[in-house]
Amino acid sequence: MASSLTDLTLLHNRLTSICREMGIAMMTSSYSPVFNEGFDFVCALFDSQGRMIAQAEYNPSMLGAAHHTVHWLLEEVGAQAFQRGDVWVHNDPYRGGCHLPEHMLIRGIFERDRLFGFAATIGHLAEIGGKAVGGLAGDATEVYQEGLRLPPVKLMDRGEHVMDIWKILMTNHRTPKLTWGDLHAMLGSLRAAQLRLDELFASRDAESILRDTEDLMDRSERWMRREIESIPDGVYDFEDWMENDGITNEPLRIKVAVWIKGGEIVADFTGTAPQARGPINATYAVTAAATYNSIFHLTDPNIPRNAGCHRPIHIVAPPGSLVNVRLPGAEVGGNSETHCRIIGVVMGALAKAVPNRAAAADGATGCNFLFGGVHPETGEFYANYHFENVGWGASSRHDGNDAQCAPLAISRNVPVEIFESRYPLLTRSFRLVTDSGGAGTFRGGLGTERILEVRAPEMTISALFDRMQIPPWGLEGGGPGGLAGIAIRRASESDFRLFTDVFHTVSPSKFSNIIVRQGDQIRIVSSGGGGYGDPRLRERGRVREDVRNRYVSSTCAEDLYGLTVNESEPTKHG
Amino acid sequence: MGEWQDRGKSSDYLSKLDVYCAFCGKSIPRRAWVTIQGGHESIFCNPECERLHHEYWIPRYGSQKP
Repeated sequence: MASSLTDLTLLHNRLTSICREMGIAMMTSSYSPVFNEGFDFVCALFDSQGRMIAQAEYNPSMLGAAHHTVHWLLEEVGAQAFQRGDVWVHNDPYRGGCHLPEHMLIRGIFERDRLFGFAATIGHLAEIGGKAVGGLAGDATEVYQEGLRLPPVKLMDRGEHVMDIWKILMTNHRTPKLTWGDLHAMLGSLRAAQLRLDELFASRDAESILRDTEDLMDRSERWMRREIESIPDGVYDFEDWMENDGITNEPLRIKVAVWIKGGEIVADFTGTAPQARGPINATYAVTAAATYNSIFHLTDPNIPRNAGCHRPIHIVAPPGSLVNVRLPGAEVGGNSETHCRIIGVVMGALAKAVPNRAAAADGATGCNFLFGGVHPETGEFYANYHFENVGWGASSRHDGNDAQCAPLAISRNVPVEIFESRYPLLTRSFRLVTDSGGAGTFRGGLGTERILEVRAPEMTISALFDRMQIPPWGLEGGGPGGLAGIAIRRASESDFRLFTDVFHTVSPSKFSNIIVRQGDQIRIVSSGGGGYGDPRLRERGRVREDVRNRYVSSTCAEDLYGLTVNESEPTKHG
Repeated sequence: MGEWQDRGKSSDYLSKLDVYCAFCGKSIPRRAWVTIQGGHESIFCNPECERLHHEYWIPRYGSQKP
């Protein structure tokens, strides 16, 4: 007998809660800020065929990719390879992965002796070896420079450490204690899944649970198809550009044609630039995850998130292009940078069909800033991967969010205190940037500026940014968002200057292994979001309030919004 | 008409060659959906990719291109 809708909802919520608890276990026990502050991980459950049956609301870029990563792993090693207590690790971008720092750990879930399915987490390890401290070398030209690459290999064998693999990891990563701690946080998360599912198995047999998850996937698929059917049939094109690849200072095009027919979508990236020499190439899993993400933003958020909602969405990504890199292309920025742009081009294409559902471009860069060295107080080597949050694009109903992680993730702003307590960096300022939100009836979200001062004799830094030259676009007459930036003020100088000027890097936004010294200051600016609609139609009270809050300058209010505002004029909020 | 064959990327790790789906471009890990039409062999991820090859790809880029 089929389960009632109430029973299905209860099961869906219970499985989702298990995934959330997996995340909490990881968040509270991991060592790296990228995990416990940045939430750069995901937790999901899969059936024995590798189909996602539940997930928690963590990093969407990894959630979309996990679908492909798990499929690859099961195709290569087979479900029969899993024994109770086994955990496999896998970070290979060329075997269904997203990018090299993101390691998937997967454990078989057993009901007594029978394999029920899998629990998986993907987490971004803060340091994975390779040419640049913290990974994300902005000038890598092949994957071999980007860090240690692991095909699917067993990390735990029936609950015991496979020490040969652990030794390889600890030897190749610059901060082995962090790797040890973060991987054990992931292992704890997988164990939590088995324990909670054991509780579920005590009240329900696996057969009936799997019958219901099958039903849930079919319902999600039908719901998603109905949502897509509400978009007019047609082919909608859009394109945007990556500014450069860190090796040559030339823009690279990302082009999409989104084909809608009935309840089905094909996002076709034919016409996108060939793969770059630098590290901005996306894997197929990245392109797929970005496409799902964009479509999920435009459809009902209540659709249960499982493999069913992916079924009506198809991706065409030419091999050897910027959106489907071939070995040995460098790929680490494909997930943090190109991913954002792929979300944007799919959104831009669909905005032509359903402008009232779409949003203008977000800041669309991770502003990835990597640093490491020997801490002068502890004498120990440290390394960190930091990303900055951006302004989101405005929509037909709302201003864009300020200083929020680009839509590829849900990461929080890393607190100032983390920098100051764990690393030899002093935060001189951290603020929203006035006028960085694109003007519009609804204003784009604001980007941020952070100034960090080096408090060690020397520090090695790398960067992987974009949106320093081509701003985020507005929609329906809205203006562009503000540009991102990274600059340095040497201890002996008075002005901030680009790294191209000071260190002669090829790209102002992508470089690696620059040595900075005590007293040098780094300014990181994140981009703002595009505006939506004619700025002159913005509610006048909102413009006044923006000026009062210094989100918008009085000059910009006059020039773009057509309103003269006295900055000391009180608003309804005092 | 097609059939499943083990035609994807070699798992012996000696070859670095990838096998890509003729429709979506995804690298195929192991099992592939292989079809022969007019003497021409095509490799897909699954029958769904073969269907879309006929419904989307050929009308847009192939012999039926407008």
